[in-house]
Amino acid sequence: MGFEFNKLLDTEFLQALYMDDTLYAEEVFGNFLKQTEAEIMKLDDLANTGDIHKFRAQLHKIKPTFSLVGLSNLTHESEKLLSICDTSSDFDIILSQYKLWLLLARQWIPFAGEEYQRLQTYNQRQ
Amino acid sequence: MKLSSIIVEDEPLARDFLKKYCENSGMLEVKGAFPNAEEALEFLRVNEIELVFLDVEMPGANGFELLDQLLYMPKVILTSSKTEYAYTAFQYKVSDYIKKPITYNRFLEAVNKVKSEIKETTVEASKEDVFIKADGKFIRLGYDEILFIESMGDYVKYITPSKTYLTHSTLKAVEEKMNKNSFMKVHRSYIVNLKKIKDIQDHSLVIENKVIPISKSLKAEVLERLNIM
Repeated sequence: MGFEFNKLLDTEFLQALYMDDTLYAEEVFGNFLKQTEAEIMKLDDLANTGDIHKFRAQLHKIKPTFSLVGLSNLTHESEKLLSICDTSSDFDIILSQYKLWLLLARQWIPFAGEEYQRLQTYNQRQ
Repeated sequence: MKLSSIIVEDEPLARDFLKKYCENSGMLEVKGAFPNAEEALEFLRVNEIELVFLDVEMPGANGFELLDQLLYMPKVILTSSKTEYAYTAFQYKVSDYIKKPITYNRFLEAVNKVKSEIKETTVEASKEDVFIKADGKFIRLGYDEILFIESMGDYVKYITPSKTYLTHSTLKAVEEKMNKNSFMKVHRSYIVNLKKIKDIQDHSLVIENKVIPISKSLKAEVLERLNIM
């Protein structure tokens, strides 16, 4: 039986993305975990400086990467936050929404970490 | 034969995905992967590439700005996490527009579309002759026979080494129908067969001892089309 992704993740999309290539999935999950923390830190610094333009660009950059590890909900939440950036000039509103976004990201990213470990274990057994 | 391609994408994970997909497809040879438009443009100025995977929003110049600066137009597959650029993409006549993140099946669909387009162009370019109406009949002229075409008011002259054919037409109509790989308008009154050019000077070129003027506005394009060392 092949590898089954955690049902909390967007399994349908992950299946379409990796098909049965679990080694590549492991590599991408690993790279995601290595890179995303630094990318979120960068986003956080920009949130603190209040530069909407750069903040928006950074969020846009990382938005699709969440889906690569099955966190399509975070991609969707990022889209909503981007839309607020596009329509609001009040950075306080953006900042309050960003804080909610960050809470969600902190809750969900560990699931990608757990999945990475499951993939490692699965691939070692193959 | 594999299509030469490059990837222009600022997000490393997305870039890796595209590289992997290109390798897996067996249809593409990745000549380079660039994190921004500027580096890609530098590469494209000295390398002719058949297909570009191009992100729209990147730091610095965006994907459309890169396309604006290209001297030739490769096939382009735009990648973006937004759908709102679709209309602009359509105006740039890109081959496909894929929303990120990209699944392998969607990637293959886009690449196959490009391959079909290239095949159609090749079939078009392989047409070797044209029928012109002259002397009260349709005459088949091989592209290779035609040296140049000259506008004469409501008529155009097809000049071959052995004969000149006068037909009722305009240079604009002729230009639309001729094989664009071999023929090019160099002046408001002349379309030339690029393969027949013997020499080229500042404001003119020579085909079989006939000096043909080059428009100032078309000179750069003419030089671009010729293989000048």
